[in-house]
Amino acid sequence: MSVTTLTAGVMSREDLARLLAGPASEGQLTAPVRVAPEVVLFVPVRDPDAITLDYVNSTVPPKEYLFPRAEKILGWRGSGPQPELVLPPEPQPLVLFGVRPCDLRAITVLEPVFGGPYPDLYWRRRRELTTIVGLGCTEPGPYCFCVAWGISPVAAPEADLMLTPLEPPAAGGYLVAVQSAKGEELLRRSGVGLEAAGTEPGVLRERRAAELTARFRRLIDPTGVERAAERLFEHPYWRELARRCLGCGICTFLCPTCHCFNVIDRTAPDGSGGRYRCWDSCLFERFTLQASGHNPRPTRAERLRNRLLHKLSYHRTRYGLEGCTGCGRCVAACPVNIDIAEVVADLKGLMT
Amino acid sequence: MGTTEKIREIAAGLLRDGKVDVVIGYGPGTLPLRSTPLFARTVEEAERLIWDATCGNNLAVYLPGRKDRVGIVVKGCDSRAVVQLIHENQIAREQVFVIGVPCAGIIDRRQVEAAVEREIRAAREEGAELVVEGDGWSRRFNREEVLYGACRTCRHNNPVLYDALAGEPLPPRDGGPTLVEIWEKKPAGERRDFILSEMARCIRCYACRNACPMCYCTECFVDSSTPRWLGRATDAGENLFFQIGRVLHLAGRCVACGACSRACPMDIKLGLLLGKMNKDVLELFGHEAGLNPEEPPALNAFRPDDPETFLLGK
Repeated sequence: MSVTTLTAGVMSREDLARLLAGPASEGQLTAPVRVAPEVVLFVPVRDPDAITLDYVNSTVPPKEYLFPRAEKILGWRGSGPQPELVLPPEPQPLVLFGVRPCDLRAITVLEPVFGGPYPDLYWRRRRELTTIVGLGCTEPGPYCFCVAWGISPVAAPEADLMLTPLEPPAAGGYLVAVQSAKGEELLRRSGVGLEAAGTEPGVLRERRAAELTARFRRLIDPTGVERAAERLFEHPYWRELARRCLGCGICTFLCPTCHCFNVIDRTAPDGSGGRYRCWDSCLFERFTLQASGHNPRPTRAERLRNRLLHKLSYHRTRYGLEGCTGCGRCVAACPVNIDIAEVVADLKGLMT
Repeated sequence: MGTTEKIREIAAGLLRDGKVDVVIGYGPGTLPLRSTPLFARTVEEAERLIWDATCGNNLAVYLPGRKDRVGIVVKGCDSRAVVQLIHENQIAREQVFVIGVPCAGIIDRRQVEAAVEREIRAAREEGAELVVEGDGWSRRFNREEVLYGACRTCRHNNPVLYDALAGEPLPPRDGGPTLVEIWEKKPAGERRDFILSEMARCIRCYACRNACPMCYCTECFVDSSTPRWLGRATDAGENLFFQIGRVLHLAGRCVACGACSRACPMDIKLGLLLGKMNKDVLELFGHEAGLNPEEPPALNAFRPDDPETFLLGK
């Protein structure tokens, strides 16, 4: 995807608070906050000072603001043959600040799933109502490998406003690229003016991207790994890898591109209730358990293979997009150190 | 001979002599401060086994329901899980060859990562210190200060059951008051608010449950659909229901290894609830899970003279 930049210019660090002050006071701002010593989450923020800029990536990706963990899709009051239908409240406009390029790419990855020929109403509505302010990285984390998937660590077309931090990190301010009408509107309402960059913005951004890319240490080359789906589907590798897998849902729930869900009803004793769309995980045994009792993915080996091949092959075959963005969350959080970067290397090794 | 070499020697011997089909131990991880479970089935594979302060996984989680003969590397806490699993008939004593490792505590990698705020390229132990290095920098930590909470207050650092010991027993630790002892002195309202704010973060990935050697139910109550005890919506109340349900199911069975807390991606202080339950079981029944292979678990024992003060009053 090419970046459509309407305008670009430089904004100081102090201007950031001004940019976000309006949405914050209106209760529309969601931004990264350190909620525990080792946990950074995107949460609603009323005071821009509460935002942390000192993070590599959030613990849980911001996708939950477009695809909530549990979204009420309808409700009802009363029981009997004709309960009264209650529609859930409409989503409200949102400014999502601080989204990293890997998580921005994830939106493009999810777009054909939720926006394809049968668009998903809920996803589309939230996309329309959300203004996304992207924030380029200043430091690769130990688990990061976005560059392996051709992602720039400082820019992304999915953001309405893309902020690229300039050197030195604390004082250099940001190169701001206005990439949509929503971004333009946010900037206009804040009253923040952009100053001309000393260097041509595209050149400046390329230079920052190159400096940062050179500092990544997880150098993997995923070229050709998608062929593993055909060539290694029955390979004993999966069973061996799955011996370690605990079968929890960490890797799926922390993945910016995982999107499986289940729909469940919750009914109160008086018969009223609601229908919810909730995140589900293909690593859970029940995910593919059929009413007959048959489970087409009976063990962790089939389930783990499904997840990894979905990231490394199926999504690409189906939509022409890589299913992994190299955010590294699954690597950082897996309790038994199953590492998708290592899996890529292993699979390529097995195919040579 | 270092602990790593000793483990390799024992494992290689067991595999060479055909005494076990597999040795479950630790192998090197893909990044600094990480290790990964390793299933060695040949003498050559046994050469990849390691031991260091990153070997945090409780490998007893891989034991329930196994049919083969297995060698397993255990720390003090892990050995208690093996004892408890034998009590609960999840594995037979004669199936398991226990390779015990006296443990000086496991490094909390997230704490170290948060403290250095930069990419760690290498880490090593030097005596009582942990040295971490990055691009043109290095930093030393007092090892004790970057251990997991459960390890800092660990009282059973030597294996309680083993067939071979890789290393000399360590002096017992006295980490001072546990988190629970400090925490339970706080007013009830403060404790409730803290627990609820912790629970609000839970994303119900069930890593705590799946990392726990004692959570081996073939159908967990949270997965049951007939009846459905719990929905998939994740609000603090439902999350608390899940966690309290899990804690109650672990009454008299939790070996305080901290695997649940270590697995939690949201840094939820699960050890508080479990620690409180363990303390209650100790005070009410004088029992700590998995400590004594000869003593039946608290909930398996019946004594006609049990005072049952919680039912009848004192």
